[in-house]
Amino acid sequence: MSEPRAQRQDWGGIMQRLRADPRSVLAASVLLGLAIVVVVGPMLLPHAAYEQLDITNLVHVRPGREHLLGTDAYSRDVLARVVSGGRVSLLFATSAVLVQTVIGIGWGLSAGLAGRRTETVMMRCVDAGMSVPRALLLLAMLAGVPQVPLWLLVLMMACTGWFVIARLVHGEVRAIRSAEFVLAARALGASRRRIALRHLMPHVLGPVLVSSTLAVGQIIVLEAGLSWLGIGVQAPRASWGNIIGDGTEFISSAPWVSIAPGICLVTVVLALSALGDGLRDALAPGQLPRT
Amino acid sequence: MSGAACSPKPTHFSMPSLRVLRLIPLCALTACSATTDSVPVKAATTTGGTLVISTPAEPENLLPPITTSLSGRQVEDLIFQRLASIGTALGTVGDAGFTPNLATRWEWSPDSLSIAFQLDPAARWHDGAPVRASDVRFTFALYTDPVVASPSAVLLTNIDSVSVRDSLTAVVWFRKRTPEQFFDVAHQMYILPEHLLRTVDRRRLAAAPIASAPIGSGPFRVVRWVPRQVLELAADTTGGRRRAQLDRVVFAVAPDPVTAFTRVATGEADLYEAVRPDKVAEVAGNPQLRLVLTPSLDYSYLGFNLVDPETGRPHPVFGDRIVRRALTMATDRRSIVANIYDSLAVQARGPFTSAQASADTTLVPLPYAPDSANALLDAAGWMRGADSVRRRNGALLTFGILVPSTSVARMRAAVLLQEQFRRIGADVRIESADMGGVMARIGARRFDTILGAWSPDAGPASVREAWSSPAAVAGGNNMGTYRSAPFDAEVDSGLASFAPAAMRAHFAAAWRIIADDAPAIWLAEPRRVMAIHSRFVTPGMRADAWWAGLATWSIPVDRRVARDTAPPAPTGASR
Amino acid sequence: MHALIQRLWHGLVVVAIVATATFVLVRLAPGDPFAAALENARLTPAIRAQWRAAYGLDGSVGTQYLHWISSLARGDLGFSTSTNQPVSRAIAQALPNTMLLMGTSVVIAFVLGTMLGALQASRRGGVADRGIGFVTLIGTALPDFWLALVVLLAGASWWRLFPVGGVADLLLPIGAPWHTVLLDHLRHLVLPVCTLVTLLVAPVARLQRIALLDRLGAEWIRTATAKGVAPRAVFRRHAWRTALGPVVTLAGLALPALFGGAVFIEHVFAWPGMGQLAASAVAARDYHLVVGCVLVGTVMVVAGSMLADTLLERLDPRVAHDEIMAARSAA
Repeated sequence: MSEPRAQRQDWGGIMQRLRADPRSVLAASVLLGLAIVVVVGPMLLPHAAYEQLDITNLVHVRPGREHLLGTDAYSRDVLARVVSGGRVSLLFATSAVLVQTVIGIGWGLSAGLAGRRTETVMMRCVDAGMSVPRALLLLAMLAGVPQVPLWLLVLMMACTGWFVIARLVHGEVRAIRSAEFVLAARALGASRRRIALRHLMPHVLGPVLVSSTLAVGQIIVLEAGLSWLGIGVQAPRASWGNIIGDGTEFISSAPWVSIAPGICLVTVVLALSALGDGLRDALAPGQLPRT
Repeated sequence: MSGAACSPKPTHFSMPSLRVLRLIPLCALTACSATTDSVPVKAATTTGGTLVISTPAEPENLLPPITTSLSGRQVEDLIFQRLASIGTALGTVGDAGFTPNLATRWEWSPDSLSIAFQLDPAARWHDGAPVRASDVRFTFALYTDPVVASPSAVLLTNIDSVSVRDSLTAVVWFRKRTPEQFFDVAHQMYILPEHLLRTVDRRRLAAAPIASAPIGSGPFRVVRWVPRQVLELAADTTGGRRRAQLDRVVFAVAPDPVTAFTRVATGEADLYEAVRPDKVAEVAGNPQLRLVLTPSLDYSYLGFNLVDPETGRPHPVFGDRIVRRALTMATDRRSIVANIYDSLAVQARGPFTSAQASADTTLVPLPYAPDSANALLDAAGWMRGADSVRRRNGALLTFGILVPSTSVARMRAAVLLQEQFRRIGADVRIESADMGGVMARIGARRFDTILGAWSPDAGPASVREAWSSPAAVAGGNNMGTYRSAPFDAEVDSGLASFAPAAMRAHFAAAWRIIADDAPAIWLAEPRRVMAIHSRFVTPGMRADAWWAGLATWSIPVDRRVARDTAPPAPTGASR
Repeated sequence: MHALIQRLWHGLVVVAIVATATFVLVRLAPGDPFAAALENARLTPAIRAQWRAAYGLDGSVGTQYLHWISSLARGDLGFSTSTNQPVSRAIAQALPNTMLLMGTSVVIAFVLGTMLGALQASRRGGVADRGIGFVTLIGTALPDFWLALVVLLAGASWWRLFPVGGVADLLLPIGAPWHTVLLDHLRHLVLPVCTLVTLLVAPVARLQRIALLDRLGAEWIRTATAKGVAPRAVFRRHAWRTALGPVVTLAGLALPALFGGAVFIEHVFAWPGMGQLAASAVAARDYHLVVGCVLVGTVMVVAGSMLADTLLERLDPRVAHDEIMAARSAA
């Protein structure tokens, strides 16, 4: 590997390269379209997400003209729930990913620039966090809190997910902290904070962005698992996760309930992954395009 | 939820349509009769066969004084014996209806303060040792030993002691004469082997090896128990009684209910005891399976906390009887029950089920009348605000429903109730937690409402444990702190009556009082819906235990399948 | 040698952190180990308190921690209240099941993923590349419990090809011939392994593809244009070295799953493994079992990663470092 060079953020160039890549453009438009639908949708749809229309006669109605995606076990319109659930899921997952990325980057940078002892302790903590399966950790944490408001669930997700990012960032920092430009900056008296933010961040951002885009999908799926167990986003609020969780039980009798949000979830994951690839290419133009 | 049957006429369904089920008069299922099986199949003449029960639950241990789970009780009914068996009518007054089990006959003393039980001389423990009267004495001592802290000890308080007249005669002495004294001694204790339990550490009974590899005197013995996988029982041949018809009973454990049900649907297992309403059509359409509906002893309810946990004073919302009645009338319980259970449950009328002897099936519950509910709430001072949520003196009409996340039916009920409360202006949040979390909050009384369910005993006395004033203290199970002296008086009178008619009249009065006070919204009395492979002949089902007659279940020779004829596993319980 | 001792010391620190954190976390959860039968009205708080005292589960978190440490020193992991046996026995039963399932799935996912990634890299930009990427990515986006249920129903109920969950046939006679037992185990493995492989194959393929393109990209083009040699030959000559990096990194990330199990998949397939054991122990507040599971899992993960790191450095320190960096930046 060649000697790492100082990177400048050339935002103009990055955006240009992104716009030129057809796959990234498609992915970004899909995501934008989805975002618009979930924001505006609930106002346009005839039924509300929590409305139980007729709990004896309109349960598990097949998709048709009256209900485009059918109804669920409580006679609620699935389309309305999926659209409204999209709002919750996307916001929830994005916030959790943001928080976990910030924690991870902060931890990784600090560890990379800290003294030997501190670095070791910090990275052992990361190892410790990574050696327990995430689902189990979440279950243990959720057992401790009687009823979890949404913001606390976001925090818990973030607290169990920052380890990989911290490891990633720390690895990058370790690779380049002895590079010439960093030593030069140090010699010129730059503070650690400045070095971290100005010189190391650009190198770190690429891999982190790619890792984070996949994390959004992972978090929505994890929340689905928790909802399936009965803990997670609580009724009557809809989230793709709890729609899937509710619908899994009826997979043979009413498959549309769990398939509809599942398709949305897969679409989001695919779009984010394509966008992530495009971003990575845009941030590191010198190398062979990877897509 | 647990549950049991009262003399089912097992009803056969060959039509897959759910509408058919709705036509079946459910009252027919509540009639208890002595006839058991109406399957027109030739009775088996040779023993043999394997019954595989697919279940998501597993016993925690198999030592009756400390077993608390229903699945444990199921297995213990098969491997242990009681002194006498309760009749299908579940009568608990005197010894009417009871049939001999471990005791072949019994003699009342003239003053009814003692009963002498003659034990079956041919009865043997599974290790070959004979059952003696000293075992009965030892069993009583173990159940009531405070070091053991058995939850069943509280049921045996009327028994003073057990003495041994000779090796096969045990005399039970009572403190006073009560209608249920025979029921207490005959039904509430499984007789245990003294020679094997004498030396066990009583403080930590669950840790003793015998708690997982028990030795009883019942028709089946434990062959092996691989935790989370399989619990296998085999017919016991040491005792002098007629051996069980089946060779083996195997409990196959699968924690996910869909997986457990699928095992029966594909023929890998023979019996599933809690078929969900949406799977009923599938079972009905499968010619290999038979659908059996039996009444049960469970009921579910939304209990109000009548006391504010912080201050100890009446709850700001639920302390008012009018508000409770209004909230009850705002809920369409019939539709809720129909949504969750289809036609497989009835609306509960009170803290009892139709299968109990103390039931009052003529009691009319509070009607579904949202207009009246709205009017009552307005009159009580709870006025709707701009966001249509009601307020009084600045406080919002908002509360939480505590519900265990492990109960699918109750989670659904919570969502349905939440919406119905929203329509009359109450802002309700669902607080779901796992069992441990729910228990902790109940213990501290830190909840507004609880979506609970009780699985009471066959005897009518069990209502006291959940709804009487003495149980309303900190350690008791009257979680909502409902206190009503008239209710307690009627229940006590009912329990002291020796005549069934008087008992029912007193309980009817008690149920009217509690229905008027509305300390809870009574929700559902679910039927037990079982899927059983059609090759089984299944006599002897009972309301509190569908498995009661399992020793007499059989398979005609011409219907047997591969696993029925396979050689049984070697003896020796392994764990 | 010094490095080895240091690694061991670090490993111990990690284990200690995890064990202590789990211990505290679980004890802080409200609830009771004997709360299993919610509907049993006779199981009063007084009785539960007495049982807790008898099994040493009362007292402050601090005292219980000290008790636990001292019994741990004696090799005693405690008594499990939810499975009614010593914790060590419960784990000894569950661990092999988990390792069998996860091990088989991880190996197959790695092999398949490596092959797919290489295929993608060699057909860079083409239909096969995009197609494989698309399909494998869908696999990661699906919720695991949902996929498990669909696979179970499809394979065991709609088409009756495989058994309905479980690790082996429950009624298999004890003295059955070894080939019957083996076949039985294999039949039970198919469905859960299929589910897990679907979920795991995408990251491996992605990593492999990126690593290959990264490493070989420049050389490849240069060699091909300069020598006129078929790019495929260059590809094959260097492929094995490149495959190392991602495999080792991902193996490190897969270790917790290997010993910790997959909670939802084990639940659906009635597979009595560590994941399900630990999750149900949390719900049952079976403190000793939860901590025991996590402790054993962590010890094995730490041991595994130490082994992997040592092995890697033996092979080629520089290559190892390069590959790890490349792999990490692409993960």
